[in-house]
Amino acid sequence: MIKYGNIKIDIPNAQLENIRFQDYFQCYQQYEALEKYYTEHNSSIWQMFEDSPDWVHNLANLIPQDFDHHVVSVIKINPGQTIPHHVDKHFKLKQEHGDGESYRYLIFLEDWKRGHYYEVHDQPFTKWKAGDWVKFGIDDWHIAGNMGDEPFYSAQVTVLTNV
Amino acid sequence: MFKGNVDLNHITEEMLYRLKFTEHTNTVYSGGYWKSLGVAVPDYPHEAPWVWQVFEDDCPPWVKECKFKFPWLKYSVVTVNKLMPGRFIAPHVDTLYKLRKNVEDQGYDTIDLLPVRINLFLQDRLMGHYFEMDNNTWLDYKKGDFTIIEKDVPHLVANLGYEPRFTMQITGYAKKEDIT
Repeated sequence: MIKYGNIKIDIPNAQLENIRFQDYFQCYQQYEALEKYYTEHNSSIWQMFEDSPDWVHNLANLIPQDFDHHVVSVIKINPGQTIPHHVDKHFKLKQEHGDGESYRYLIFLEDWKRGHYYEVHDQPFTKWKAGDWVKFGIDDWHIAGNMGDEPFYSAQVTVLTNV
Repeated sequence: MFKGNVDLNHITEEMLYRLKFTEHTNTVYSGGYWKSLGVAVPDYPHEAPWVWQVFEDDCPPWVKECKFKFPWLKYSVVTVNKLMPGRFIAPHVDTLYKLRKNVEDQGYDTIDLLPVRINLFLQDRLMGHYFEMDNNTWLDYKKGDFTIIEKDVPHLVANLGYEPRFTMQITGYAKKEDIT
């Protein structure tokens, strides 16, 4: 089930711009129809994982504490880039902490800006506020993209509850 | 955002897919929008801001007949846009320059009329298909739904899905009371 909520954050834009992203990669295509249209040129993103700044790690303390383990990351989608339709399997988290129920909290780090887009399970989501989050599972197909003129920043806290 | 609907049940998916598009338009400069704002053109990837278009004279009869759905729109011309997956038309404003120039050249009467563009959706919204105008989004449109794009109002469209996105633009002059 997809859930929505909000945490109180106040992250200045300069702080986002100062993140020293090192990984820039093409999002993988999970079915053939996407391979035709999405290339390294229009579906590449910046992402940082465990090396993320402390304030990214601290986000895990602000979301509902309904988990045993978690990992964090922060993503920057530049204008013109799309993360095509996909599901996340949380492989790394399960590899480290064992099986269980896992979810992802996607946290929007800034108020919505024109051209910024997110859709989960065929439900479009726009006009968010900084700190709004969406919680979704491993079977929830989703998309994100940036057709605006400013970078789109989000954080991900992926959580696992051992069963 | 103005929202209306006309019956387009006679338009099939096959009709859309059989359309021949004559222009592949690059929209990165957004018709001078960035320049008007005094900002640099965003560093969009080369292959993203493109749209396929077919204009009035090259459109089949069924496209031109859609104009009759809007009898209150005068001096109208029609365009069909096909936005392929991963493509978008970046934020821009429509100046409607061609329409205004043509009307002026022809000496048409435009007293009490405004130049406007009807954006007509030719499909139910599909995954990843996006419309935004003046910081408002329309994310649950159905085939036959339309909105009015007035001159100089910023808007953008995108296709982040995996199926083509078809829309029709009918541009003409309307009375204020017909579009509010």
